[in-house]
Amino acid sequence: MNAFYNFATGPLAWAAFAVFIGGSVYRIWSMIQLAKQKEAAFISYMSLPHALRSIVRWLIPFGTLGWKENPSITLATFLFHICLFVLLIFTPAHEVLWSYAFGFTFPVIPEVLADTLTLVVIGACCFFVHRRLTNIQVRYVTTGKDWLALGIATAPFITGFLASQQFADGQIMTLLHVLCGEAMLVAIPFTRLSHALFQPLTRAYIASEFGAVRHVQDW
Amino acid sequence: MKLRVHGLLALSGLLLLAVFWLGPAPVSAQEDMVQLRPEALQPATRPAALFKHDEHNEKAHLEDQCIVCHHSGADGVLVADETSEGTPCADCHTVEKGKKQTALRQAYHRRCMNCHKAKGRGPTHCSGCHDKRHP
Ligand code: HEC
Ligand code: HEC
Ligand code: HEC
Ligand code: HEC
Repeated sequence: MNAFYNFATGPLAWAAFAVFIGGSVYRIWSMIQLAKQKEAAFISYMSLPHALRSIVRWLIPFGTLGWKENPSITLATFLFHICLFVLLIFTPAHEVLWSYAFGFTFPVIPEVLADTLTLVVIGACCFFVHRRLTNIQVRYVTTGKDWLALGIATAPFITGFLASQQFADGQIMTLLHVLCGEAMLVAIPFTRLSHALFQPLTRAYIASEFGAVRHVQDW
Repeated sequence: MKLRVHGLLALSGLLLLAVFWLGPAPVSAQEDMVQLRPEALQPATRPAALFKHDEHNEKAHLEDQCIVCHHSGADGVLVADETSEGTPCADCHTVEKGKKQTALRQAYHRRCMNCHKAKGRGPTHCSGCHDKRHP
């Protein structure tokens, strides 16, 4: 068990980061190649100011018509993503690992706040599951890929919460938490979680068309 | 009369025993290190790290390698062969990282976990040392 834990937090972690970075670069590169092939004319219309304006706009909760349409999903989406990034970086134990491995330190949030935000994320995930099961329109377009992405995104938080509560002897949950986190890194370039990579490109594309070509807002 | 003398003797004997037990008892408990809780890292956010000094070093065969942990040096340079038993880690490793000095928490983590990793024995997960069951 010790040996596997040390493998998961050592070589396997490096491998997961390598696949994440390599896979992401490859996916973005091949998407740009595809765009050049199929939409060469459009590339010339790409407009950075329009793209940035639209991305910022869509990052504001209820800042766009699309976000105003369905307040509960907007709230759950923003809570999920904000808590995800805050926890990823500012969880006390994560900072301990950075300083242990690389020697740099930074401020963190208190342990209780980290636990609370984790429960918020798990709550948001429950909402997403509920919606996919009960909203007929959403249910109709839901495939196995959506469930896989949702499962991979939820698992690190459930195992992370149990690890912080020192479930059982503490080692098994910490190990599962590490493995789930690594699974998420590897999954980002190759599953529905790739929206993390493509969302800015999608927004830039739409914003440029609406802004630079049709001269209207896309929000 | 005889009974009385016996009673007095027994009483004073008990008293002596009590003084013997209660007096040095806390001192010997202090000598038996079971966990690490350096003043410099207070207020702590986790249960104190488990470390039964003598038992640990016996199990890990470190009795003749005190220098692995109790090394010595200054200005970012270790002095080979010079030990520092009895000097707290915090005397040399400050809480904030210095220009040439490993920070205190990191010094503990690196010393403890790196060896556990290298040997494949001893805990490397947080709760293996910071155990809520033994706060
Ligand atoms: C695995 C690391 C390690 C090894 C090996 C080790 N020690 Fe220690 N020792 C510690 C730590 C940690 C402390 C607490 C110091 C601190 O936290 O500032 C300590 C404290 C001490 C103290 C102070 C005791 C007290 O109650 O404050 C003495 C004396 C000591 N060690 C002697 C020894 C001797 C002699 C050896 C070799 C036989 C030895 N140590 C080997 C880690 C170690
Ligand atoms: C007499 C001063 C002194 C004491 C006491 C001391 N250290 Fe150090 N230590 C140093 C110096 C000097 C260095 C080298 C500079 C650096 O990396 O901080 C060092 C380095 C280290 C390193 C990094 C070594 C490496 O290989 O990178 C660790 C880990 C460490 N000490 C742990 C400890 C622990 C744990 C204790 C207490 C058991 C302790 N030290 C007690 C002076 C001391
Ligand atoms: C030079 C190597 C080495 C260093 C340094 C070291 N350890 Fe260990 N530690 C071991 C080994 C080997 C074991 C496994 C012993 C056994 O067989 O149970 C162990 C076991 C342990 C255990 C589990 C004990 C048990 O009863 O299961 C704890 C807790 C522990 N170490 C804490 C620490 C702490 C805290 C430090 C730093 C102050 C530290 N160790 C430094 C080698 C080391
Ligand atoms: C091999 C034993 C060991 C392991 C494993 C370990 N630590 Fe520690 N840790 C220590 C020692 C020794 C200290 C200094 C004594 C103390 O304060 O408990 C310490 C101190 C700390 C401190 C500063 C004191 C406090 O309570 O605020 C934090 C925070 C901490 N560790 C977090 C972690 C986290 C997070 C992990 C898992 C990633 C971890 N540690 C794994 C041994 C360990």
